[in-house]
Amino acid sequence: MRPWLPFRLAWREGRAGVRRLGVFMGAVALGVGALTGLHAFQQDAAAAARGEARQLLGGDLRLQSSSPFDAELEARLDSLAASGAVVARVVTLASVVQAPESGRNRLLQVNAVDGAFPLVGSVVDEPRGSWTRFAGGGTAVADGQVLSQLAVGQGDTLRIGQAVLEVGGTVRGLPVDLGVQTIVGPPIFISLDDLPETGLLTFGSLAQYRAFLLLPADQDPDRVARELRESLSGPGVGVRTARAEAEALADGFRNLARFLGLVGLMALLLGGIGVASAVHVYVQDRIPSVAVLLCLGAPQRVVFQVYLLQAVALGLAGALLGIALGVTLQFALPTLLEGVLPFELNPRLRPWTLLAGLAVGTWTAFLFALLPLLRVREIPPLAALRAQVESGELRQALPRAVVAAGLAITLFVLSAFQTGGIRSGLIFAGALLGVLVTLGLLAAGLARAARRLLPADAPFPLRQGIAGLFRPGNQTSAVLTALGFGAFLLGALLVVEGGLRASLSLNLDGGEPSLLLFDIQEDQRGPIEELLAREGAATHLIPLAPARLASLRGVPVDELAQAREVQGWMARRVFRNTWREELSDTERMTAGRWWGEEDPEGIAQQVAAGAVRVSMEEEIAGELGVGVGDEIVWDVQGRPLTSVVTSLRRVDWASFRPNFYAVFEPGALDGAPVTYVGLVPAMDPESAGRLQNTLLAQAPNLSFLDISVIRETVERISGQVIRVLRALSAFAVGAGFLVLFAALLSGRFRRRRESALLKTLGAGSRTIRGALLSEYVVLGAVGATSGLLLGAGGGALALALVFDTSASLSFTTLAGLWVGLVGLTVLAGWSVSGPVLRETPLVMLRETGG
Amino acid sequence: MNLAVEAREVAAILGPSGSGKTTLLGIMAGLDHPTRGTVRIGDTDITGLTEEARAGFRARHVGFVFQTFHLLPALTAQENVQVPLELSPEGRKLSGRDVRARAAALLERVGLGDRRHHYPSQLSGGEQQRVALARAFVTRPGVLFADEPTGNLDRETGARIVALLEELNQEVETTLILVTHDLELAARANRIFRIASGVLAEDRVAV
Repeated sequence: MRPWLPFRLAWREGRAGVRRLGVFMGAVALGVGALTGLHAFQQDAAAAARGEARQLLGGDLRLQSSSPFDAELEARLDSLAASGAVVARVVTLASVVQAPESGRNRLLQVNAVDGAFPLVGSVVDEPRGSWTRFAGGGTAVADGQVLSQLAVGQGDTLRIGQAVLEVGGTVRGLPVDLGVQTIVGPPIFISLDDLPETGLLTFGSLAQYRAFLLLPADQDPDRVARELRESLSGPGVGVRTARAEAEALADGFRNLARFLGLVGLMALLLGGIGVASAVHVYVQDRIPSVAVLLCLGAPQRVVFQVYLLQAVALGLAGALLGIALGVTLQFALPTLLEGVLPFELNPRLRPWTLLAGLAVGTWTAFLFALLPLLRVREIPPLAALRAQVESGELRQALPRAVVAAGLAITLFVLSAFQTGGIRSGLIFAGALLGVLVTLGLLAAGLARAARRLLPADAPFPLRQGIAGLFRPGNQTSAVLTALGFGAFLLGALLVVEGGLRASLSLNLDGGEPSLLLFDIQEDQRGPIEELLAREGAATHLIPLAPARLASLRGVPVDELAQAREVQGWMARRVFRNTWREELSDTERMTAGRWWGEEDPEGIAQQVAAGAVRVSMEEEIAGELGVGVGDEIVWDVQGRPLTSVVTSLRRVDWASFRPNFYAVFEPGALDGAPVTYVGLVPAMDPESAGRLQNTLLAQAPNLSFLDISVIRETVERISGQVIRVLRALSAFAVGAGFLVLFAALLSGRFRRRRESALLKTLGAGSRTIRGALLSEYVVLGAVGATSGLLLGAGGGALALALVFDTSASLSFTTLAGLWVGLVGLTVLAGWSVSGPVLRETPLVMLRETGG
Repeated sequence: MNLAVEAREVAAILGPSGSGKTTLLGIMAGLDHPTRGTVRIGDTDITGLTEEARAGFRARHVGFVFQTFHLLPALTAQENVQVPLELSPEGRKLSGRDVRARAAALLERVGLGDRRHHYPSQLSGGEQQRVALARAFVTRPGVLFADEPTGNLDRETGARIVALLEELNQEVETTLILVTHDLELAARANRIFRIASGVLAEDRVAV
């Protein structure tokens, strides 16, 4: 035998019929495209994060604290500066900035910076030199957009706290803290020298103190950071290197890409099912050709190779197409995620990523094609003579088991790679298989139930349509799996999206609060309450008493932190505590008793010994390792306060209502330094603006959070992530639709014969149309129902497990989706059934030749 | 070409492959439209009918038996036999129970009472053709067209099918038009027509 025979045969035999496998290529392409695109995007993001590490952090090293640096740290910074390091300092706080000329105001992130700032990056100022002048004090600069929102230009005045500053110009290219920026608002810059004048640094203000360091070349940032961390005895100072910042960002994008990649993996799996289904039908149609080849003396092995070569060639072509799709996705993602990315992405083609996509796609297509192709080895030459050869009994079990194992291993390896761990890979692969099997069983059960429960007297077209689902060689399970999987993804996405949106919405007692007031001092409390009442915005002010942990169950927190029994940041953090008579309606008790109820004996003893009662949030209590009856000693501005935990609470943090880790009994914090926060109920934006101005005139040190602005920001970002998720789901749903279409197309021949036969027996075209329509409607309904049910269930589970929030099902949307999916199935079915309806019944006689 | 078959006659059309047998049968049965000429069945000129009307006419008056049986693969034997009844106006007047009873009785009559709930793929060729016979006679059609009814069966089975066909034909008093190249089968007809290159000639009138 000539060595190239299989190739030549594959080409000759395939060029005519292989076109019908085009759908198979499409399915592979979508899966490969989603995976490759995401992977490339993640590499782009990681490269950008590493490349701009210093810019992102603002130096080699950053120190950050919520209180001013102590003398010890200042000394360390001085000695570093003496050894050649450049130090820049920034104090950041949120404040409403007023423009007296235009009467506008806006909540901004006020950055008070010294002359050395910024250490890296180049400032673009307009007019030139305004940044240098600004260092001398007396002016404020900001992004052009911020200034236009306040309707001020160069030379106008701005009121920041109690200080009045001149607008020096606009700047771009300054490093800003991303986290604060996104939540609070855009930044404005003032000189550190002007900060005291604003009066914003009152007790309890939410200021961040930061120092940026640029080290001389001979000093290793990691070593300096380590030394700083070790030498810092005071609480609350975070030290971060540029490299760690870049890695954290890269990690973040890796996680995002991993999560999104799972959807891509689903698309690939669905593509695989499409491959198996298309090849199955292809092989069935090729039985006569195979038998003839065998009769002509071709060895079984060669015939098998012929078809395997065809499948691999198509898989390769599909994977190539997928890579093209992936590159498109790679270049499209930065646009979809605009505003979420803290840096510019420069998409770059990486040969290895593309090659990996090619390999994964071809291999997956190969394996999925192999399963139905094994059938080719079981076709007897006799099939050339007799049309109906029973070939079911000759099934070779071993090769099938080997291929199935190969598929399982591939799925696991891809899952493990995508989720970044063996355990998570196993879980995901198992869950995916579970979903597929459940979908298959559920859909098959529903279809069977439809057939069994259908009354024998039901209209003929309906019965004929349902019987059609079970015609021999039917692709019902492939169609139902594909459709169901698409519906599953859509349903899950819908529920997750709905749940996230619901939990992000800031509903409060029916009305949404519009403003949060911070930093109200004890002596301002009365006048502000009066003012709010006068303005029709009556609210009661909530006390805030900052405190740190001193000891837990008698052990100092420093020791616990060193023994790693308590996380370091928690030992250092400033808890903003409050006292309250009642539980709020966004929390509920999970253990212990509320004030006023009789104390258990142990607690009563501690109270008698002078401890005050405190109720802790259950998760933080778990982190701290304390429970009901345990003692917590607090450091309230230098004074120790002994408390005993009397109850634990579960808090709905997503409610945006002020909630607290520690709530004390009334009177427990008497004498402690306190500020107040106020929650101003919903009002229209204009009145809110007026109220802010009035409040600021009376108390310039006040900080506001405009909750509608926060909500817009949160919704914008989550909306973008959801958009990306949707775009990726489109790949999977698209693959599902291709499989659906291919399966329906492959059944066309049988359906045509059946319709012609029915016509011969006297069926009118209305009957035929009715039968086809019932078949597609039932197919769509069963697929959509099982998929959406499973998807909604899975989505609700994901919400509960991952996002810790409950599902809020929109039945109207689900119903709309259901109708859409059924309509799509009918449409797809109808589009492949055109010839069936036009066929004259004479074909029945013509095909009697057999 | 002119051809007239009287009611309750058995007519056989003989001819080699490609002679136009199947086209003739198709036109006579109203499965296709002739370019010229007319076909009358009873009092109806079926060439004047639309495709829809012809389908309705077939449902009321015409039965078919095919060489390759052509059972609907997704339906059981019983369900296959029910189909013509369910498509015909008379059958639609019957209750579902009556439809099932008539189909069952006919299957019993062709000796498949115990195979009623089998699918075509579970039946042998002879059994499938017996189901097809039951299906053809269930509406008691005025005319039955049979296209090589024994063509795909071995001799013995074929003979049994022919016997059954004749019995049912007599019971129902159907006009039977057979297309075949089986001379033995043709010999049992009242009238034999030969067709060659599109030309038709009557062979003889049987007594």
